[in-house]
Amino acid sequence: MLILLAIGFALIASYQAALHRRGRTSGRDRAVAYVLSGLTFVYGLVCRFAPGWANPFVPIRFVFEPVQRLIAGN
Amino acid sequence: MKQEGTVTALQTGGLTFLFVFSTTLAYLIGPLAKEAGSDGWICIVLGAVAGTALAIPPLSFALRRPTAYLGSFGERIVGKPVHKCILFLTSTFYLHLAAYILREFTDFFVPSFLKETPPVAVAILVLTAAAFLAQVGVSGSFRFAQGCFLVIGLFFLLKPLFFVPYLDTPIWREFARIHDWKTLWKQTYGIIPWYGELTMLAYIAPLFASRRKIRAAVWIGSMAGTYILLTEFLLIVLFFGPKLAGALSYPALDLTGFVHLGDFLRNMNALIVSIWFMGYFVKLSVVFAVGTLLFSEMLGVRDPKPLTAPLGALVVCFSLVLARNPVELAGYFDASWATYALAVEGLAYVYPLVSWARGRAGRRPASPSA
Repeated sequence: MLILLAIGFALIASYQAALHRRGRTSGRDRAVAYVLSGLTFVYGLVCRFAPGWANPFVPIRFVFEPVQRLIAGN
Repeated sequence: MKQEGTVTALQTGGLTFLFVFSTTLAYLIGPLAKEAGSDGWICIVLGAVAGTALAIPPLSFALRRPTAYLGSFGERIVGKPVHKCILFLTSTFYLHLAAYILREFTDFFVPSFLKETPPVAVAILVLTAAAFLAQVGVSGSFRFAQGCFLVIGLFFLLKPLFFVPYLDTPIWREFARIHDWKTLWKQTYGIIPWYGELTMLAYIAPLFASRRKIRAAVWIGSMAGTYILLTEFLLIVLFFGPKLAGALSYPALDLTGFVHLGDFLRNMNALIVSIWFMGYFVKLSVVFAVGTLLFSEMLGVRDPKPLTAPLGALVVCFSLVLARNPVELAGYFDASWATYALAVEGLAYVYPLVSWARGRAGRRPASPSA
């Protein structure tokens, strides 16, 4: 699974490089795109090893469930 | 941008039509029939009107500036930090929504049609197509919708004709009265954000070519989609009864199992799911494209194209970790999604409200002592 993740992100980075060459994007935009890819890779690793920490529903539920219970009476 | 001002009212209406009923048809009807029974049709009507009405004021505000995106000029209205926060929350909401739609699809499609296929493979394949469409820009999804909404709409308009012999049932009487006001409110509250997702149109206002007709197109598309959803809901409840319909995971799919053309076509499941998939894909791609656009605006990136691939990967990761199984996913959704969605959709109101408040402050006459 880890190898697949690494291959997937290598493909994404090479595709981004091709897009940057074609679009002649600025240095800042390139940096932002690569940093985003790196952060997504780290998030992918967290999803693999600690899926409970990566689930966006957990904080959403923590914040909004009491409010929804109040409004809709769940 | 090349694509500015190219989306017609017909394309907007077509996309709204597909947007409204494509996912609700498959994933909303079962839980709604379970909770609200024969009151469900009222929840759909009330939710549709309230949700569409929720999406219109921010759109009207954004249409006043036909050459600039709300993601760009909003900074001058509410200030940079607040604007960036709104864009971050809204973009992550739409990316999360794309992941949720993707997860619902893999949960439905893999056990039914692609047994023993890893869900991750299906999720990557579907989202790769959506990501490539997002590279064309949000207008690409509108053009795609224009190409297929007539086929999909016509098919779902004709579908009830297959069930005419079964509609002579005493259950009709149950639709004439309200059984439980509390459930009615709870379910309507849950449906409003499904329609409120249309607030995304406010963030892409410069794409619209004919601004005068856009609001009418959104209303017509939304109500036409609601008609399809309503027809399907009534068919399912009449055909299966409220209890059985509520017990089925995908009652719309089970209903299609009874559609056949004499001996010529005994089972039209694959055909119907293929047609439905086009509508589903339109919704997934437009939600992902809007999420990507807002995220790039938040980061101050001029061209969102290079961000589509990593954000696509993020959405696939999201979809895989959202829940361990469909029951857990439904639990998360029922517990908090409606309030979360309404809160984020309501953020689009900050711009017109602040603008209005500043306008009032500017018009206030100077005090005599000044």
